[in-house]
Amino acid sequence: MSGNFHVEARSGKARIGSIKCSNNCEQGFQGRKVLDTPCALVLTRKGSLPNVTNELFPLTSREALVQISLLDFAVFNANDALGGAEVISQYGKGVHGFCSLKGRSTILSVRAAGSQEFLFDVGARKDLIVGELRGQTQRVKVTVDDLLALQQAMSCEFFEHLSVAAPPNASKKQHESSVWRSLGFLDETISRRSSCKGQLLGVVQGGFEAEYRSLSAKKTAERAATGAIGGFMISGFGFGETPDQWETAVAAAVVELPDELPRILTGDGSPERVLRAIELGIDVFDCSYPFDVAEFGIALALESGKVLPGSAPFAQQPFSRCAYDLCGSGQHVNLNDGEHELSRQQIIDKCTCYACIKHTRGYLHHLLRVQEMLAETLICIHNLFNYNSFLKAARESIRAGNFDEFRSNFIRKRRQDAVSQGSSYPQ
Amino acid sequence: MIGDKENVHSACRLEIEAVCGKARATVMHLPHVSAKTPMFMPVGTQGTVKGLTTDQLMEANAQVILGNTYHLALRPGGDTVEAMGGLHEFMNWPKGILTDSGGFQMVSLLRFSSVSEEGVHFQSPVDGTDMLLTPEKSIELQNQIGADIIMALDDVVSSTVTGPRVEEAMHRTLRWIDRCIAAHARPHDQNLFGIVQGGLDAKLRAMCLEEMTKRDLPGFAIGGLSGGEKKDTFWRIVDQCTGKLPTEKPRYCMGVGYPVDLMVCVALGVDMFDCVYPARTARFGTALVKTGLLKVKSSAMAKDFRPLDPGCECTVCKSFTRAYIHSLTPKDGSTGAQLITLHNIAYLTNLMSEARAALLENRFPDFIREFMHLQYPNGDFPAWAVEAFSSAGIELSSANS
Ligand SMILES: [Zn+2]
Ligand SMILES: [Zn+2]
Repeated sequence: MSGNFHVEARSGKARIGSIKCSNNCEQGFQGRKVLDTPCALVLTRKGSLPNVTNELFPLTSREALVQISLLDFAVFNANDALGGAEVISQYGKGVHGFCSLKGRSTILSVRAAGSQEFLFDVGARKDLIVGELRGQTQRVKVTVDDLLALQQAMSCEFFEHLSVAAPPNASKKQHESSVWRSLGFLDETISRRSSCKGQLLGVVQGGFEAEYRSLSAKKTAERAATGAIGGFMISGFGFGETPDQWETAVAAAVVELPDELPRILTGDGSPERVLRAIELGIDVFDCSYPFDVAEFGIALALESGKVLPGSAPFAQQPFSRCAYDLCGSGQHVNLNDGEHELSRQQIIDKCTCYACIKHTRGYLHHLLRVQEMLAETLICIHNLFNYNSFLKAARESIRAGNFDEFRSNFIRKRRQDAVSQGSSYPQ
Repeated sequence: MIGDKENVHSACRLEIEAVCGKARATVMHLPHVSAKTPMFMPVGTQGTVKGLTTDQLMEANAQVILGNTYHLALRPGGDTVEAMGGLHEFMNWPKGILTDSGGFQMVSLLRFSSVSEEGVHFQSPVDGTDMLLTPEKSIELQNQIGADIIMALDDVVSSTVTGPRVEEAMHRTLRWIDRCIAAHARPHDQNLFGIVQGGLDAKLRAMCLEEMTKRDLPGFAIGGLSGGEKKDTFWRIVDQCTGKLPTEKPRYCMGVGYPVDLMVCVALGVDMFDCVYPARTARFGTALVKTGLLKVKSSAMAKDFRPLDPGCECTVCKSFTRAYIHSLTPKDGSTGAQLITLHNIAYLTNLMSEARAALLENRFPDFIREFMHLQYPNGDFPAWAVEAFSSAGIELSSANS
């Protein structure tokens, strides 16, 4: 076993731990990369946060893993018909050097956070899937060897193998195919990876039926016993599934997974869903949420959830909100609102992010109004910071043994705030 | 009002540190910055320089940035900027700011504008109502915005227009400068610059220079150029103006941003420049480099692992390769344009500080020759530049001898 993950404390099934990222992946990097979990795996585009150049990356919190999207690099450069593997391997300093991700830990993901574009099974071939690149109609073939070549060139700390998802209401045949073909890809990847650096993540698929999720998790966990796997990626979400379907799938997968390896969940990373995922035992979740809302001029104001003394634990809330329904969430500042025009307040009081230290709500409101791109850059920086503070608070509550309370208070508070804020997004 | 020194104060002190022919290195002490010239001023039209944070601008050694009064007056409005503590505080930029008068923007951006003795008439692009920008209104707005340097409202005609309209504009500009001076409420902490007009007509320029310099203004700008006129005419007008403008006051050539043009103007004695060029050209994927222009989108860049400009000290060149920036497309967001913009601005501020260092070290002609040979490695210098430098006492060919 790689011993790169340690569970430090638990509250129910929720756990905090730390991931030590093997730093032989980043050449020239001396420091130790240790990440506290639960933490986020943040979306990037070509290795850069959306609208935040990596030149500004030091301004953002380090408490997150960085997601490197396979398709961004597989079709690196459409005009030149060049793949990222070719370019980056010639460059020779991995994705960290190429994208200037100094000291960050990365995961090569097959599907970008929040995206619904990728993964079409093309049938019988055991070495190939087809994807659809963001913003383009062209379909892209990716083989196991393509993926390994890319990982070899990029040296991400973790990488995910190819897999096949089953949408909600898929047929029995599709479910079986999702489980077995994904395992086939895993075995193929293990047998072909040879000297390829980085920890392989075993992907759990199986759609939204407990039976198949559980089967996929069990079979993937068997491969972990040989030490071939450094963690698990529970994947195949974002197909319009209901919260119940989502919960069924995640819960069925997690119970089958060994305790000593990190569990990474794909999706969009909305706060309610993340808290539920933590409660089910998830350690890392990929997230586009802070950026998705920034696109609308929404700054996050997630409360770091001090548990109020004497507050009665809220009855376990069924997870009934659609994760994509950002509108109903409360705990945000809509910087488009005219009320901020003359505001010299920072986005949220006492926030120490770069945007809050430097700028007022009034200025950000102006930038949004005149559609200046600096608006989104600054809001992304704040949102990521706020999101990470929220996760830090969640970790603290697990350490203190009162995560359940933290979660139910948070959800109740969000509902109240949503109501009092009138909870609507622009357009 | 003319020459009435009792009423016209200055919040600008110019220290001339070195001179080479007409070229000079100065320190311009402004309320928010002691700016080292010659200097390039990036344009931050709406209270931000395209996609860059104020710290990035600092790192790129910007000393003074430009705000456009017309845009700021529309959104967020002069009252709002004033209520937010002025533009410096509003955008959190601690160094210098210069605002234009708004006149040029209206004439160039709006189809339905006209000029009368009263001011510039235009239709609001927001609600279509008839609006009027008078010299008094322009100064009032600029007083609200609070820049270190504010510009007089001038009657702008395109540099390619000829005939009586040019003369009319020149005379009106002179009448308006006195209205601007009279309206200026903050001469103690804002410097009103007058603008020399007169088109491409040397006689009109001479009249305008004569009259404008009678006013004891803190600085002067050369306007009405950079509008597509022939380079040969352009440099002669600049030369004529710098020959007549008082040496102890800053000279600002408006809208000039191509590296060769900048160096010609520096040699002719101009201290400060502004242009949207570095950001605009970045959005089309062009980086400014010592050897000219680099088309980052060209497929030759796909595996080019050098920085945009080898030897450039900017944060972009220290961290990223041409190949990386080449791979960034609009679907990856705005980061590609942001990185090239940042480099381009750093390139121009650095070019200026190199010119300044050369002036201080008494090797300006060598510096110009080296600069031109890098820009034109085959020695095929444009004739107008050869002549312009020669008139400033710099012979380009002697570098080879
Ligand atoms: Zn903040
Ligand atoms: Zn550079």
